[in-house]
Amino acid sequence: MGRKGRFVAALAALALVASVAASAAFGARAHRLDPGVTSTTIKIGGTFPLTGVASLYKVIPAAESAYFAYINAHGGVNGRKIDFTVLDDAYDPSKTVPLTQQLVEQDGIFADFGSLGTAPNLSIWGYLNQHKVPQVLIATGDSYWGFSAKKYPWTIGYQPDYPGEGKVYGKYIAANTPNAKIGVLYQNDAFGKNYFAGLRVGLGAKKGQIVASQSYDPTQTSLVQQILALKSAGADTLVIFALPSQAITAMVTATKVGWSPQIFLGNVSANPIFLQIAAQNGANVNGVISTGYLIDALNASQANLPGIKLMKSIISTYAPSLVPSMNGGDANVPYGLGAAWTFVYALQHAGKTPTRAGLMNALKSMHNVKDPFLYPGITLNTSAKDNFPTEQEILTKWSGGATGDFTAFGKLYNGVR
Amino acid sequence: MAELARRLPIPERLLPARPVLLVLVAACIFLTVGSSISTLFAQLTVAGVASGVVFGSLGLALVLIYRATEVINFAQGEMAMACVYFAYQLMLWGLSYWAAFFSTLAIAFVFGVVIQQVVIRPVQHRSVIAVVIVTVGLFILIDGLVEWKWGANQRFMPAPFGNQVYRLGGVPVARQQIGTIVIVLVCVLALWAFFRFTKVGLGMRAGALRPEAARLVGVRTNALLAVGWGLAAVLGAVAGLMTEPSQYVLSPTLMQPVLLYAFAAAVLGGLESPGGALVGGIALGVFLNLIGQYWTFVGSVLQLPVAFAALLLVLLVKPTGLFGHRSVRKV
Repeated sequence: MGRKGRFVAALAALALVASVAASAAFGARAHRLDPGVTSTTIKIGGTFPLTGVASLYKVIPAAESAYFAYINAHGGVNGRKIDFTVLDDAYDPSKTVPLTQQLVEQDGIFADFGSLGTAPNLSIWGYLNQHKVPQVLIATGDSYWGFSAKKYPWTIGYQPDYPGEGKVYGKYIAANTPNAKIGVLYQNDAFGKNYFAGLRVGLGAKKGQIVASQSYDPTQTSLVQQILALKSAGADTLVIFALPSQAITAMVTATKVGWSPQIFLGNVSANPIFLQIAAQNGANVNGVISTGYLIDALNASQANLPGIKLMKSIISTYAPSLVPSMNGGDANVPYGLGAAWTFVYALQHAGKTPTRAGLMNALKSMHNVKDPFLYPGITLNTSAKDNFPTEQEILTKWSGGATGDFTAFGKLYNGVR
Repeated sequence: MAELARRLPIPERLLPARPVLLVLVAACIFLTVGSSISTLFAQLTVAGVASGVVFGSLGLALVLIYRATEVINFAQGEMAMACVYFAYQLMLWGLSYWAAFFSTLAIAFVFGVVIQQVVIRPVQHRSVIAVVIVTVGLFILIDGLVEWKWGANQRFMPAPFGNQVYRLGGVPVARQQIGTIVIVLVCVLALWAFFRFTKVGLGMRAGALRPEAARLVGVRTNALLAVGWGLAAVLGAVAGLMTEPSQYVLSPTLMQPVLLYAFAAAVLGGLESPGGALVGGIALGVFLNLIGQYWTFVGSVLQLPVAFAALLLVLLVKPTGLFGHRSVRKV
C-alpha cells in the first residue's frame, strides 16, 4: 500500500466514521420523542370539577378514564398505554392555571385532554398555545375554540357549540311553525347571549316572530316577572337558554301562571332528571323540544346500537360506580366515552410514534368519522378551516311526564354556520 | 307575668312613626287597586309577597341576632341552607315532609344554641369585629361541611304544598305561594307571642336592651342569648325550607342570593324591628317584581341595582329604617 493507498484508506475510514456519526445523529432525531411519549406510554392530563358547584360533571373524567382503561387492556395505541391524570380545579380558573402548569412542566404531558368548563379553559388557552401543548376535545360548548383556530392552533373542542344549537331551534321553528310568536328567556351572560344569537341566525327572515325576550341574572330568586312578561307579550312559544335550576323554575312557573307555550329547551338543561323534577313540581313538560347528539341508554329504541352495547360493557367492567348514572340516562357517561374515543382515534392517526403536531393534524382532518357514542348518523367532521368536530344534532321531544324521556324525531340538523 | 313586664326596661313600640304608616297604607291601597284592575299586576304582587315573606323571615333571623348580639350574622343564610340539608336527610331516612319539617325546626334550635355557645360566646366580649369575623368564618365552614357531606350536586325534595293552582277572582295563584305566606306568617306570629307573653321572651328583650339592668332583676342573659341564636336558626330554617320549593333544586348555594335580599329587608325595616324586617321583605319582593315589569328600562338586568338604589333613598330620608326609632343615649 503506497502513500496514495494510505490516503484513500484514511479517506474511506473518515467517510465511514462520518457516515456512522451522521446515521447515529439522524437515527437519534428519528427517535426523539415529543414530551409525554415513551416507547410504552403516552401521558395526558386534564382539569375537571371533581368538587364544588359543577361537580356533577365529575362523571365525565370517570367515563373517560374507563374508556382509556378499556383501550389499555386491549393493547393500548400502537403498543403504548394511555396514562390519564385527572386533577380537580373545582371549576375555578384560578386553580386551573397552576394545575395545568403542573401537568405541563412537572408531569410533562403530551396533551391537555378534555378539560372542563369555559372559564377554566379560557384561563389556560394562551399558556398552552404558547407552549405548543395540544388543548384538545375540551368540554365546553362555547364557540371561541372553533372560531379562533388561526390564533390558537393547538386548541379544539368536541361538542356542538351553543350558537349552532340555537340555530337548530331557529331553523326548526322557521320551517315548522313560521307564525309562532316567540318569547326567549336567556341567562344574561355570554352563554345565554351566544345561544340567543344563534336562534336569530337560524330564524333568518322569521326573526321578527320574536315578540319578547327576557334575561335573568343567576342571583335572582324568582322568574315570575320574566315569565309573566313573556306571556303578556302574547308569546305562544317559549325558548329557554338557561342553567338547569332556572330552566326548571321557568317551566314550573309557566304552568303555574296559567301559560302553556311550546317550549324549546337548550341542551345544557335537558338532562332527563331536570325535566322529571319540573314535572313533579307541576310543570307540563310533555312536548318540550330539545336537541341531542349522543346515544341514550334510557331509550329502548337504541338498545341494539353497537355504541350502547360497548358503553354498557366498558362501564360495567372499568367503572362500575357509574352504572347507576348510565342507567339513569346521564348524558355525561356517553359524552366522556365519546370524547375519549375521539382522542384515541386521533392518536391512532397521529403517526406510529405520535407527535403533538400529528395529533392536531389528525383532529383537524376528520371526514365522516363514526364515533360510536354519538347519535346514529352524526359524524365527526373537521378540516383546516372547520374546527368544530360535532356540528349535527337531532331534535328530541319529551313525553311521559314525570317518568318520561326525550325521543329523537325528524331529520338531523346541521348547526354549521 | 304582668308584674315582670312592668319591671323590665322594655319600651313598648309596635307601630312605626305616623308618616311611615301612612306611606305603607297608601302602598297597600295602590297594590289592591292595581290588582283588581290587572290580572298581571295581581300575579306579580302575589308572587312578590310570596318571595318577600321568605326574605322577611331570614331578615327577621338577622334582626333577632342583631338585637341579641349586636352583630349581623353573615352565616345566617348558610345555617338555613344546612338546615334544609338536615330536612333532606331526614326525608331520605323515610320521614314524611311535615315530620321532617318540624324535626328540622327542633334540630335548627339546637344547632343555633350550640353555635352560640361554642363559637360565638368566647369572642362575644372582645369586639364587634371579632364576632363578625367569626360569622364569616362560619359561613365558609358550613358551606364546606355541607359540600363534604352531601356534595354540590343538585338534590331534589318533594313539593310540600302540592302543585294545585287556585283562581282567586280570575287570578291564578299557586297553592305553594299561599302555603309559603301562611307558614311564614304563623311562625312570625308565634315568635311575637313568645316575646310578648312568655317570661323567657320578655327576659330576652330586656337582656338585649339593657343587659346590666336585666341582670340586676335576675335575668340570666347568657342563657337567653343562646336561646336567641336558637330561635334565629329556627326562623332561618323556615326561610330555607320555604326557599327550596320555590327553586325546586337544593344545592349549597341555595340561600346566598336570599341572604342578600334578607340584609336589605332587615335594613329597610330598621334592623331592630322584627315587624319591620317582614314588612321590608314584602316591600322588596313586590317592588322587584313590579319595576321589572312596568319600568321597561329597568327590565330584569337592572332590577337589583334599582331596588338597592331605592333602598338607599329610603335610608337617606329615614336613616333608622321604616320601623326604626332613633336611639338616644344620655351622656
